[in-house]
Amino acid sequence: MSVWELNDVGCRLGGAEVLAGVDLRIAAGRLVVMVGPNGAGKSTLLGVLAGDLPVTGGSALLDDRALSAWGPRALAQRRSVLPQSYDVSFGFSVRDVVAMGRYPWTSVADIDRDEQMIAAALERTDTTHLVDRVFRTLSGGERARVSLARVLAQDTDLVLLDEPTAALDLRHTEEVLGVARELVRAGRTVVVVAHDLSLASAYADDLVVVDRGRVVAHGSPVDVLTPELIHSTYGLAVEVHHVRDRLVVIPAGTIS
Amino acid sequence: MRTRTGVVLALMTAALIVGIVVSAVIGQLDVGPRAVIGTLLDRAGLTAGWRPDDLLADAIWFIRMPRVAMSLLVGLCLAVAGVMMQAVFGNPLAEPGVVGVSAGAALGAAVAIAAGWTFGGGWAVAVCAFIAGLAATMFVYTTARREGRTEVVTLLLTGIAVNAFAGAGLALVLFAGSTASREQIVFWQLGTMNGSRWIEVLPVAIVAVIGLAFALAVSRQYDVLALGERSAQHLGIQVEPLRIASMFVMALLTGVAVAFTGIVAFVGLVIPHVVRMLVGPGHRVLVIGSALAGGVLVVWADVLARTVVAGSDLPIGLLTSVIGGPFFLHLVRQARSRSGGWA
Repeated sequence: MSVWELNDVGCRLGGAEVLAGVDLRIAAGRLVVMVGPNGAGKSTLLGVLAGDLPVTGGSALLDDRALSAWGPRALAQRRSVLPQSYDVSFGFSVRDVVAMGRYPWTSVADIDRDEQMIAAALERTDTTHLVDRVFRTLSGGERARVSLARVLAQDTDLVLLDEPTAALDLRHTEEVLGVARELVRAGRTVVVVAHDLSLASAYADDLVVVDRGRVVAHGSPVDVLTPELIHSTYGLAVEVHHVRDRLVVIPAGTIS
Repeated sequence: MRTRTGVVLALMTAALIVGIVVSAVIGQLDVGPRAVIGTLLDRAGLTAGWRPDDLLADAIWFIRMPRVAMSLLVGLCLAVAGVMMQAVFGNPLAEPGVVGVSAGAALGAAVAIAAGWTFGGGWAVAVCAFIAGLAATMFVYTTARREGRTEVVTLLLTGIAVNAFAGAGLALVLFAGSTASREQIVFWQLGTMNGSRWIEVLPVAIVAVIGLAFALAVSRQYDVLALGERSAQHLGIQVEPLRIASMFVMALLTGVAVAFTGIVAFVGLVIPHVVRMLVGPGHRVLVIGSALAGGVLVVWADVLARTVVAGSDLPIGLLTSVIGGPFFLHLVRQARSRSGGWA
């Protein structure tokens, strides 16, 4: 059963056509990773899924209802979004920032539940030791993890992550994607935008390849990540190796 | 943290109460603190033995107290407007003036003075100032708005243009006006609490209550807005309606304050910043603290205005600027060393 259903969706930003003719169905309980070259429209597609951006053609449905017809609060209780940049104005503490994730549940959930979700979110992102720090004084990687904690505290069934690992070190990268897997195991649906093809294939149930505003491939990593497809979308000759149960993508000719 | 906030708010309240009494004691007529407190208690319906004779009680209640109340309310209005402005822009250096409300009000008042309008029982200047301030803000806002969204930088740039335009209009009125009206315009701009009456305090009080209630009602939304426009939307906040409503209430607060007392500079910028340093960035406490601190600053600035030079009543805008100016420079330097400027 599809959670999101996009039919022939287009999207224009500032006069430029960023997405055109996108068909995409995302099923519940999957970990979907969107990959593609810079400027291909991955973040825009994520913005459409999040309900941020109006579509200029076709239909974009969430739970069989047009995304534009969702109320802001109902949407906030259904999906959470980790943006690409993590700025917080003023000197809010890490605890304050994560607690903001509970905003959609104001007067719905009781305080104990809020506290419980906040503590669990801090724990899972390895940020419990940062609670009393001022967000703006954190390093880039710490900000990314605290922002992820804020998203987890929102406690939604659908989670959208725009390049969550861009600022992270090796261990935290694996941990964050581990968190995404854990969410899926608990029955939630996660859509991640990522750049590292090898990493994406290691964690994804499905890969969605976006190129020049279109979805050019959608399927299991093994089926999608062929040297031919990568060459045609990225314009780079690559080799795809199987190392243990992971796919490793490297530029052609780098290992002799 | 909690106890610190409590202590800060208690100290501010104490400073305000002392300020009110001191302000009412100072003046040509010899009045003691006891008489002031006695009069206030009597007005509150509590009959203590401290009430002075009728003449003194009337002097305190009808001449001194409106001035004190006006100072307090103007400080409150400007400080709360400043908090709202900074929350909406996500920028600690924003203040109501940047979207043209003060400059618009100054132009409106100048035109009313120069034209010698006297409609509305002597309220022409205040009414024109208020309407022009509100109109300038709404013009800036609607101009900067496109496709249902407002770019903050566009808004600020539009504000600069409108400020310049209003400044030019003001210069023209000063140039073309008579010597007497010129003098009046200049004094109006410097700001004064002199001659405030209860009937003028009333509209300011009504707007202050509305503004304070609004700011408190949306304080949690202001907190979440610190995450940025998009993330706030993801958390279910309707950013654009919140901005529109905030701009309108902010213009009301600043407009009504400026209309009756002229331009009282820097309160809207400095007070929220100082209070944030004392009690943290959470907007609920920030709004309450700024309302109090704004009252404290303007009440005490008015006390200074009347005592620094014996026998004369200095413009209050001068005093708030003398206190605010150096502090603003300090803020700019601090922001510069921390993050390399505004960015």
